[in-house]
Amino acid sequence: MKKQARPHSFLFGVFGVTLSCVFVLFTSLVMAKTPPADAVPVGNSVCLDCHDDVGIDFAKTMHGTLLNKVSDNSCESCHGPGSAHVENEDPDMIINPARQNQFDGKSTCLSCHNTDNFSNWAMADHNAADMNCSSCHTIHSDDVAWTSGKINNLCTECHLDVKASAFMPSHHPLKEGNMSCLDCHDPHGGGATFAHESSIRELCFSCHPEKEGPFIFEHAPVNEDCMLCHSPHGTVADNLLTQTEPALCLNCHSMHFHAAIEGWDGAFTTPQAPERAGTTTADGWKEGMLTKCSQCHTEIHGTDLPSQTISTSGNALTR
Amino acid sequence: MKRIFTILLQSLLLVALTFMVAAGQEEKIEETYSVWIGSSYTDFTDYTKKIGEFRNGDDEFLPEFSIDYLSRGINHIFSLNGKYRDENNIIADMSSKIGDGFSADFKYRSMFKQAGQDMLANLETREAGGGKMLTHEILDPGADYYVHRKEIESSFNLRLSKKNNIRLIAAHRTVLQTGIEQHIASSHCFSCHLTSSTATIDKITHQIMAGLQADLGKNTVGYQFGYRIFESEAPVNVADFDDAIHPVFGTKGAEFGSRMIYEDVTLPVGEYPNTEKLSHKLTFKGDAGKSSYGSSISYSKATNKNNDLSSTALSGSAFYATSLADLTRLIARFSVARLDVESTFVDLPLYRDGRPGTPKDFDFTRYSSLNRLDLRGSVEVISRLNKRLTASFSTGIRLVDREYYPADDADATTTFFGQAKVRYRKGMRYSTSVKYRFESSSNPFTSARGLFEARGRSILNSVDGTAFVYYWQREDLRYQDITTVPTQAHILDVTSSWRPNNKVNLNVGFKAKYDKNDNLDSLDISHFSMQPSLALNVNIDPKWTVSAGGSYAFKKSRGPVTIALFDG
Amino acid sequence: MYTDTVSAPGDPLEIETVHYGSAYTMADYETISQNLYLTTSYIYSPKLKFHGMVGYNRSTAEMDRVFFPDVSTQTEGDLAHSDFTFENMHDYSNLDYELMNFSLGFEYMISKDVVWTAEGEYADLKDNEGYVYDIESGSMLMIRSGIRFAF
Repeated sequence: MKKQARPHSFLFGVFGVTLSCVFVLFTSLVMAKTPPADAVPVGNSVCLDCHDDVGIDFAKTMHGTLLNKVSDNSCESCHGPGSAHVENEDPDMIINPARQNQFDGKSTCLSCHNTDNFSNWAMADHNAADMNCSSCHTIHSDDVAWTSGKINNLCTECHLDVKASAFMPSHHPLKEGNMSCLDCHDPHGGGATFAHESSIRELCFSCHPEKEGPFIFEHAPVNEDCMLCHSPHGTVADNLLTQTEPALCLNCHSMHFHAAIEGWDGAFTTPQAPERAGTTTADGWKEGMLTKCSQCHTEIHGTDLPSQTISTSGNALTR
Repeated sequence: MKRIFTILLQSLLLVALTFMVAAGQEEKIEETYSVWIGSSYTDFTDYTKKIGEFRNGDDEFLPEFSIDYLSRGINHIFSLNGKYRDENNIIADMSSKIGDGFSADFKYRSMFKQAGQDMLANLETREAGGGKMLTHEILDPGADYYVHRKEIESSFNLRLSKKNNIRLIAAHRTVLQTGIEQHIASSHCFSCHLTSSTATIDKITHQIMAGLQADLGKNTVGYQFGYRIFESEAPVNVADFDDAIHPVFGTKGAEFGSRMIYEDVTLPVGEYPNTEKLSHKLTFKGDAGKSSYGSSISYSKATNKNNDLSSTALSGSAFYATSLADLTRLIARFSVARLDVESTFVDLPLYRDGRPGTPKDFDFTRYSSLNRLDLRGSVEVISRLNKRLTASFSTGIRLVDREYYPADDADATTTFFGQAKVRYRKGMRYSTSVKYRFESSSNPFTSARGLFEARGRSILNSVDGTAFVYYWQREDLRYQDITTVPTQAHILDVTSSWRPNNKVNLNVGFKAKYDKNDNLDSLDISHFSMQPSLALNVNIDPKWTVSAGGSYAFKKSRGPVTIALFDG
Repeated sequence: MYTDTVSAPGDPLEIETVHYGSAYTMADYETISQNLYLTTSYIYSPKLKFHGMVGYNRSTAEMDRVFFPDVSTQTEGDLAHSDFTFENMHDYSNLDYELMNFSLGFEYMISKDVVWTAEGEYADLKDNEGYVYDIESGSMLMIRSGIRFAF
């Protein structure tokens, strides 16, 4: 008898929301670090009295180049007026963008970098994970990740499982430098440029459009989710398949009934075409039918051309 | 159409170059460039296609060079990076920014992928004491299969007006794929015969995205248009299909032939359809105090030009993020998509027309399994409990209601999830997060008529006018709703980062997932995976850095293996 | 009842079958991928830097042996020309790869604006199972050297 799914997780979630509301009431208020209202700018030279090592490197960066030319308060354009910090030598009296988080409202960086790339940051997973701009970007020294290799190294510093997947026998060419994580992912919370809709299928079709169809003869899991069969970061089986054939296919399909035929043991020719000759074993039909289904079912993502037999309604995806 | 895209691409480049030249008049604060000139030698031994999957080396010295250029001024930045490894491996990136009113990016990538040749050695056998045969033929032994993929991508962002910050956004990408690939065609009767041949790859994809964006107070509205075409310009591959006759005696052509759509003919195989896709998207985003919100509506239509079928997607999404208190946030997300594919009538010859008994009509209307309504909603609450501890709880639902689904009672899949996450952070030196997620699905995706039937589930009657029972009659007896897709899943994700000092950094991760399908008491269908990982970076001294790490990925799945008890 | 299909020419093709259902069993499928790496960089002097890497990956994929229960009672002794033992099928598609790779390189500053770079990489793949492409074992050696000019 089929069991009805019980929404355990829904009740769990409601409980969780209630619990967090309780926490809200009792949470101590720890305000984000900001300068006092009466703080005033002090100028770069004062900042460099203590932070000269930072200043030297910063002057060579994009931000430093731009800001130092137009202002003597380039440090305070991000860190806020520093008089209170200087007077009290208190790190809590200056803005530290590296410590800003999702509870501090809009970050310092987003006050200038407010283009469409970053407008989804409020709902981004990285933001919800308490990361900020400094988690990946260095501001005081030049280390902008322009190239694929550097970006991939940056992402895989935290995403260790993805780094390991790139070394599996079948993988997208990330470690070879031919692709970068940004080809599929947007770390700032947005979507891929050329994915017309927000779905896994659409993302895959933006580079593999020949699989989209729509086809006359379909394969239902292709319409469902590419990840039913594929794992895009890396797999042991070929073609980024989660399992080798036939094991993958047997999850949903019975074996071909010809797999149970007793095989001929020895040499043979086909009487109607003697040039088609071969040798085989008693297990020959098993080897034929249970090694790689896509040797015959080549158009596994769908096709417009019917397969040969009428009784399969042309839907065997062999042509 | 190709010409239009080429012109568009050239125009984008021209615009970028013009601005770069203009920017060149500005005083440069910094300008650096470097050129690397060298050579490489690559030597392969034994089987090269797996170890050299993405490399194309010849046993000789090949020239290589790379270039890096950077120019910065008060109001501009321009960079160019390029690497030439060989004619099949080239990377070039160009980026330009003028003030905050214009930016352009250009990317070129050329890469190479080899593939092995399946010699079909397992496809050779004959039925003991009977007539069925399985044979194969390699028409091009020793073929060197490869794909050469070249990609050009350009994008630019131009502010048209400071008032309301009206911006024009455009992007273009062209992907060219050339090479040769293996194609296998199968022919029934007089033997199951598979032929392997070489098919030419010549695919081209053009994509453009263009849009306008404007700020209205604290809100941003935008419109985006997208267009993509895919064409295969390779000659169509063909294969021969045998005459449907008895494999041993060469007779019974009428009987076997009456079961085939085609026989004794040469037909196209493995065609890539030319497709076209266009889309429209409206977006609206904004901030109100500590709240952020956004929504979008999009419509896209994809057409297969070979069969003139179209699929449409109408979708909408919304998100709302706000502060419930100083240290508590709420994020709500919602999306809905309606997908439709045109149905089509498949007209087939009558099965066993002209043979004893009543011929059967296998014509059918193909209703697409893609037709559906896909609804998602989730709510997440994140709270900073104290200086070191952050907790989040989220819950959500996904409903997929399929319109045409052959499996009874499986047309709507409902998935609930609940997730809890706790993060502990001690300053900048130590953090650990633990995440647990639970998912519960009813009626997960099922391969209707895919898996086995029980003995005697129903009575098979022979076809009218004959004494025969055919295999296709048994397909209707298969279970409609057995699936190995899970009905419940448990996911655990633990990550930890420790930086005791400026010299040492240790990252540890552990992921585990267990899911099962508990709809059928008699079948134990389950999947388990786990992956511990570790990465250690040590700056031993200012001169010496060492990184080490490892990962162990384990996956186990348990599912049914079935075969029909049939001797046809 | 089963009638031999290879009958004399002219006989009608008669195969009468009885609906015996399916044989089924449960089978496990496992993949394991182990990955280890070590990279290092060493600044020998202001003019000379070294870097190196060692990596190892072992990936396997295997299916359990498939044992169907005895089907003779289910088929009433019919289907005599069929063989429902599949105990070797797991061998047809198992995978077992071992990959070792090493790289070593240096950068030598000839002058402030001229740097000589060189690196070598060796990768060896062992295929212990073989699939439809037969044994895919192979190795690759790459040597690269050049001069960087800064302006």
